[in-house]
Amino acid sequence: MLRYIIKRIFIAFLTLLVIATLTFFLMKLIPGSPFTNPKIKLEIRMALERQYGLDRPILEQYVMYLKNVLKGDFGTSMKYPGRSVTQMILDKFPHSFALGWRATVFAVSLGLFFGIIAALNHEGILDYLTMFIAIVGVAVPSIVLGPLLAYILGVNLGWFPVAVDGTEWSMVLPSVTLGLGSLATISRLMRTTTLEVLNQDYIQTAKAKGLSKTQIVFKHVIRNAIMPVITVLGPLFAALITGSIVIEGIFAVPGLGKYFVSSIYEQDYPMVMGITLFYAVLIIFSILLVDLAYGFIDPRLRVSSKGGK
Amino acid sequence: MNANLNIDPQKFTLVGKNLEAAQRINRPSMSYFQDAMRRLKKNKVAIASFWVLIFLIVMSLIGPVISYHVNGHTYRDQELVNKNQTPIMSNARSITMTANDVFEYAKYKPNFRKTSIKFTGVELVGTGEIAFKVGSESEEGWQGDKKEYIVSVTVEEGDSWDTIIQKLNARAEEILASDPDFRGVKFEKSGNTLKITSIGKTWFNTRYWFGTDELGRDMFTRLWEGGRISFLIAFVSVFVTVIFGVIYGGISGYIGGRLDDILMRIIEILMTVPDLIYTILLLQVMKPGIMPIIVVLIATGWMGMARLVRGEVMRLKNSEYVIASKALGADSKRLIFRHLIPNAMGPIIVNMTMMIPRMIFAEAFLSFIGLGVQPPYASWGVLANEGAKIFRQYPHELLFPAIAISLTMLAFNLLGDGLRDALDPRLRK
Repeated sequence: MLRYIIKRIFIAFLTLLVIATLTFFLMKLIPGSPFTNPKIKLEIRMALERQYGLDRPILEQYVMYLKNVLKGDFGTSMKYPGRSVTQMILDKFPHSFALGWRATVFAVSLGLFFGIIAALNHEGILDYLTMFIAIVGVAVPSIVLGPLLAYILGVNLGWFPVAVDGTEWSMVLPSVTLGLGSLATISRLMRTTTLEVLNQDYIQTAKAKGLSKTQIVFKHVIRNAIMPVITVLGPLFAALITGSIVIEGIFAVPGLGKYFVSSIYEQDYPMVMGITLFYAVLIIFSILLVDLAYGFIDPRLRVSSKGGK
Repeated sequence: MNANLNIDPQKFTLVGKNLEAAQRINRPSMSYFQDAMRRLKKNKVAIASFWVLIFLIVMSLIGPVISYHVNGHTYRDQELVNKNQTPIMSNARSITMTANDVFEYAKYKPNFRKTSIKFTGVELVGTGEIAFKVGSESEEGWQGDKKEYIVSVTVEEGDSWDTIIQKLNARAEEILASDPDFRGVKFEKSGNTLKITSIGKTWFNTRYWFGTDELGRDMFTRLWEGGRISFLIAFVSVFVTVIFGVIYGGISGYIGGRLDDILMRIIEILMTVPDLIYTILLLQVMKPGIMPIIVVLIATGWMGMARLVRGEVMRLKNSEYVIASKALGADSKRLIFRHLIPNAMGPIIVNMTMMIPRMIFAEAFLSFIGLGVQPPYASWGVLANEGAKIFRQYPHELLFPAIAISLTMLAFNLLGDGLRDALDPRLRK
């Protein structure tokens, strides 16, 4: 078990190193530097480059960059000199996180509920209904769903605000849009595993013992069926984080994703790289956390290649 | 026991073995794929999905040609005067209130194109002028004329709602009599609701079947042109992904041992890197366009395929018939091309079908955040992005690409499910 944890953490750090290296060298491949403005005099440019260490050999710069990243310093913006990337992330990320956890709660709770209901009502109306929602969730991309929900529920019916203004009510539409795809994945998976569990011998035994249906469902079925679902939580969280990049644009959430897109448009490379790295750290550690948690919860699968993504 | 039983052995003759009958096969022999196709044909949902996809692909191929020959449109021709036309047009004029000294209201609600407006909770409070401006701009994207009319009446002391409505309707009819282009406006009041509707006729847009976008480009042509690009990107990237995955996974699985370990560790690390992250990184380095997107999609997609192929090859390598074939003296080439690849084809095909919608979605996502296909080229993602911006005014510009994307995703997913059931009956739920 300990070996497994150490191995997983080691791989996570190795991955981060790979990403940081990729980020650094790709950044160097992009033509231009922050100071290639013709208005800046040559000597000032040289001074600036010396200050930021851009005149040193590339390997030395690389080591410096890694050191800075380890310290949590992602550099400064090219478009807005003096604005540090780290500060920007700290300012903007809470808005994205507020959206992310709501979407996760929405997707996981409703997804599990739908999956269980569908399995218990196998080939009944509820089964078809929930699986229809799941299919729609898979087939309709958020770039379509977002504007559609905003238009129907927001503009036409006026039930929800179409832009996030800080109230709980305004978080409903973006969270639903963000979470629906994951809800579909979870409910389909939960349905399959629940159906499998329902066919197991120990369910027969429980029935023979005379347990009530609620007891069987809550004590035996759900506990066993939920195990495989936990494995998808890591990648799911990753999907929610990257998915919010689109959602934030649609619903005017002043979060990191929206800022990320505008940085891409403005070609603010340090900003793009910094946020990229930040996203990578977030995703890799959430996947790692879920994997480790899974190792603890299910003793059968302590060491297994299936644990990863 | 009947001792008298006496059977003459001469009555029996030996028939002998009928070798021919023993060897005859009663049913026609079926290859693995014929069998799978037979099973697939029974799945109505999968077959329907298949035809939907065929329709979308064929329309993508011939749609732009049809519209070029019938209406002379291409995907990049702009006609700014005809911008934002809707597929169903109406020449009803828009109405806006310009003066009101007479009544108060609780709520004001125009319809989508302001060709009809509604005041609820109206109450008379004074005397003076009521005026409505009619048809200042053709909100419906109909560029017939730029005429403007003012329907204005003066309300005097003692007027009731009935007389006001009468006056307004009379004034509207006067204008209509002097200029038939006005087409008429109707004022109605029921209860506490005042409703004003402008009269006009509706017709299908025969010149721009699906309307136009904000630059006056034909949506029908752009939709199918976008389909071409979306499908092209998806098919090419999936095709290359499969080839690369088969080679990488095949080598890893077939040779095994230390090489397999190294190759799989590389994949493991690359797979932990979130797709989107290096998609965006790579697109920052390359100029956005169709080729870079394909490259990026391949770069993020091949690992899963390589893993799948490796798993299949590992499983098949140790199966009895491969060992038997080896024992009979088959070389690697024969083993790979005769046994391993054909038998691994099933899961590979299923995975391909599931990958295509993912690629289309990834392309749409990239186009949506501005890293995708660049204008004037259109992909479904670009169209959805452009449509989403002015969705509230002109929903048709999002609706058509949205339907196309959703339908494609849905059909590929359902077809993939059907193929999985058909190709691997053990996995059937």
